[in-house]
Amino acid sequence: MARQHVTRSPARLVVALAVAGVLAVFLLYTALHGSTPLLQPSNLNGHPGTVSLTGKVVGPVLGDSHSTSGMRFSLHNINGASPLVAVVYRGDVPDLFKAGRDVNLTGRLANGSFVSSQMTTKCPSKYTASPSKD
Amino acid sequence: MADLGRAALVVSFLLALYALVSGVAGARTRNARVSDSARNALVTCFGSTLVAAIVLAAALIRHDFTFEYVAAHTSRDLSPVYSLTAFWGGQQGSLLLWLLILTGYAALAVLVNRRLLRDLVVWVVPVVGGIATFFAFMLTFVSSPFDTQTRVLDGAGLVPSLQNPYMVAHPPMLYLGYVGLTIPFAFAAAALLSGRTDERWIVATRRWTLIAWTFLGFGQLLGAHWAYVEVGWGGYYAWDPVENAALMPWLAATAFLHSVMIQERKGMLKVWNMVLVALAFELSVFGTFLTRSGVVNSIHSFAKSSIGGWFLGFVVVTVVFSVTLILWRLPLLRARTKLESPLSREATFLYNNLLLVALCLTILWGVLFPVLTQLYEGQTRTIGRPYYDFFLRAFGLPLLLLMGIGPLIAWRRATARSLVRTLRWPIAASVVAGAALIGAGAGSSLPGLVAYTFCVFVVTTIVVELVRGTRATGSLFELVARNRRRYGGYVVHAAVVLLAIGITGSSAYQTDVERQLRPGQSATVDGYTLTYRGTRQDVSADASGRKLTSEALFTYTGRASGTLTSSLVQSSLLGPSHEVGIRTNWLRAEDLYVIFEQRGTGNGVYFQILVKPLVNLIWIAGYVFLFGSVVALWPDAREQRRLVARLALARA
Repeated sequence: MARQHVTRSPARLVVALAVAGVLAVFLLYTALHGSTPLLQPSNLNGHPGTVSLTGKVVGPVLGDSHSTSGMRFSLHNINGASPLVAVVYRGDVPDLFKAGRDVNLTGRLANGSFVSSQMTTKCPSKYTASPSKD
Repeated sequence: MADLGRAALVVSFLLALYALVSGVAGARTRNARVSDSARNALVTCFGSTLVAAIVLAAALIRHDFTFEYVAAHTSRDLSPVYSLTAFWGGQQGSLLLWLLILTGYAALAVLVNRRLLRDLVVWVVPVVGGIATFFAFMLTFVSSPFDTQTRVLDGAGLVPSLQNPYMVAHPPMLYLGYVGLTIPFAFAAAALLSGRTDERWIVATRRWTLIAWTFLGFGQLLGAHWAYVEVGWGGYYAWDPVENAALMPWLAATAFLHSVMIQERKGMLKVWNMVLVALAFELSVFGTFLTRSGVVNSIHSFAKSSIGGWFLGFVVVTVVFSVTLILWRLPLLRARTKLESPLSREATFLYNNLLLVALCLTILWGVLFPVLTQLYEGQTRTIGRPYYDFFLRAFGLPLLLLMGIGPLIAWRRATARSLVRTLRWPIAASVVAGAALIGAGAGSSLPGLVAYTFCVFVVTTIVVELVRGTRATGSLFELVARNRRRYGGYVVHAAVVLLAIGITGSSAYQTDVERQLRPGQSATVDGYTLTYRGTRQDVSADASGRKLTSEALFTYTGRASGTLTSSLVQSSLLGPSHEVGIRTNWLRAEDLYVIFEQRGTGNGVYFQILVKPLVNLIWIAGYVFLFGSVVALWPDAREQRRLVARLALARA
C-alpha cells in the first residue's frame, strides 16, 4: 500500500471547530431552556415557578391522589431536619411510596403548599455502604 | 472465614501492586524475567481474589450474619439464588466482583497474548496492575466486605422488587461490560507506552471490546425489561443518571468498534481510536463514581458513600494518564492516508462516529448539568426527558440512515449517481413503506414515520447484501462463515432496527389512559375493550410486614381476548407496590398493560391502561443482538492469519 502523509487543511479544522461551537451553544441553550431547579424543602422558601423537589415523606398521608383535593403529606430534607413543606399531590402514586421514603416531586408552590402531579419514589439504595458504616 | 477473606484481599493488593511496579521496571529495562514475574503476579492476583469471592459467596449462602455485609443485604427467608445475588447487591460486594472480573479478564488476556504480542503484554501487565491495585486498595482499606459484627438473628433482606430473575443477570452483565473495557484500554495504553502503535493492538483486542460491548448492551436491555415488568410505571428507560452511566460507555465502545475498521483497512483515525478507547474506559469508571458518590440526583437513590471521592480521584488520574500518553505519542499516530471524499465508506464511518460521540457527550452533559449549575449558579438544575428525547431523535435518526448507507457505499470515493444506483432498492423500499405508513395512519408522529422509513431502508440494505453475497458464494452459510465479523455485524444492525421499531412503536404510538372503573364497567382503549370484574383481597404477614394484596380481574376483547389480573400490594413496612397485568399480542408484538393505581370512591378503582405497540421487538432485539455478537466473535482463522501477518510486518 502506498504511504502518504496527510496534509491538513486549516480551513477544514476551522469548519469543524465552528460546527462543534455551534452545537455546544445549542446544547447549552437547550439545556438551560429545558432545565428545572432541583430543590430541597430547606431551600424551597417561596421559590417561584416549576421546580423539582426532593425530600423525605413525613406522614400522615391523607386523602386520595385522584380526587380534586388530592393526597396530602409533608416533606423534609433527606439528610436531617428542615422546615416541613406541605404537599398536595394529584396523580399516580408510584411503587414503594410511604412515609419515610425519599421522593422527587415536580410542581410549584401555591397557597403555601407544594402542588405536584408528578412523583417518583427513589429505589432503595444498593450501592451505599452498610448502615453502620455511614 | 472473614479473616481468610481479608487475608486474600491483602494478598490481591500486594500482588497487583507488585505487577504494577515490577511490570514497569521490567518493561523499561527490557528485562524478560522481571516482566514474566509481574505477569505471573497478575495471574495469581486472580486466584487470591477468587478465594475472597468464594468466602463472601459462602457467607451469603450460609446467612452468616457475623459479616456486616451479609446482615445488611440478606435475610433468612431469602432463597440461595437471591442470597447469592446480594454479592453485587451492595457496595463492597460489587467492588469485589469488579476486582474479580478485572483480574480474571486480565489473566486470560495476558496468557493468551503472551507469546504473539509479548512487546505489548509487558506493558499491559503494569497498566492492568495499576487499575487492580486501586480496586484492591479500596477493598482492603476503605470498603471491605469482610467487616464483622456480633451475630444478629436476622438480616435486613433484599428489596422484593430486586428479587427478580432479571436482577440476577442484569448487574453482573453490566460489570462484565464495564470491566471488560479495561482490556482494550490497557492494550491501547501498552501500544502507546511501547511506541508500537501499529494495528496489532486493535486486532488483538477486537474480541475483548466486542465481548465487553455485548455484555454492556445486553445487560442494559435486561435492566430495561426488569423495569418494564417489575417497577410498574409502563416504561423501560427513564434517562436516569445511573441508567445513562451504562449507556455512555456503550455508545463510545460502539463508535470505537466502527472506527477501528477504518484504522485496520486504511490506517486512518489512529488518534481518534485512542481517544475513543480511553473515553469508553473512563466513562465506565465514571459510571461507577456516579452510582456511588451521590453527586447527582437519581431515582436509584445512591446516597453519598465513603468512596465517591476515591473514585473521582481515580477518574482524574486515569484521564491525565490517557491524555498525557496520547499527546506524548501524537507523532506516532499520524495517519497513513487521508480521507479522499466526503462520499465514501470511510467518511460514512466517520459521520457515524461523530454522531455516536455527540450523542454520548450530550448525555454526559445532561448527567453533569446539575453539578455544573450547582457550581456555577449555586443552585442545582436538572434536565428532563424532553432534552434527551430531542437529542436521541436528532442524532439517532441520522445514525439509523448511515447504518444502511455505510455497508453499501464504496471505499475511497463514490459519486452521488453511483450511490443512488447502489441504494436504488433500499430507497425504493423505504419510499413505498413511507407511503404505506402514511396511509396506515403512522403520520401522526413525524419522528416515528421517519424512524420506520429508515428502518425499512436499513433492512433492505441488509437483505440486498445477503442476496448478492449468497449469489456469489452459492450458500448463505458459506457467506457468513467467510466473513463472520461482517455478517455478524449485519445481524447486530438488524437487532438495532428491531430496537428502533420497538422504541418508536411503544413511545410515539402508545396509548395511555386512566380510568376509574367499578365492577362490571368497561373501558375501550386502542382496539381493546377491558371489563373490570372485581377485586379479590388477601391479607398476609411475613418478615416484610403485614401485606394487603388487592388483585383486580379483567376480561378483555377486541384485537385479542382473554383475562388478566393487576395487583396492588400494600405492605406495612415497604409501602405499596404494583404487580402489573401484561398481556402480549404476539401477532402485533404489542402489550396490553394495566396498572392498579389505587382505590377510588366507593368500590371504584383507578387503573392506568396502556397499549404499547411493538414493544416486544425491543426484547427480541436483545437476543438477535446477542446472536449477531456471537457470530462476529466466533473464532476466525482468517483474522488470526492477519494478526500473524501484521506481527511479521511489525517485526520486519
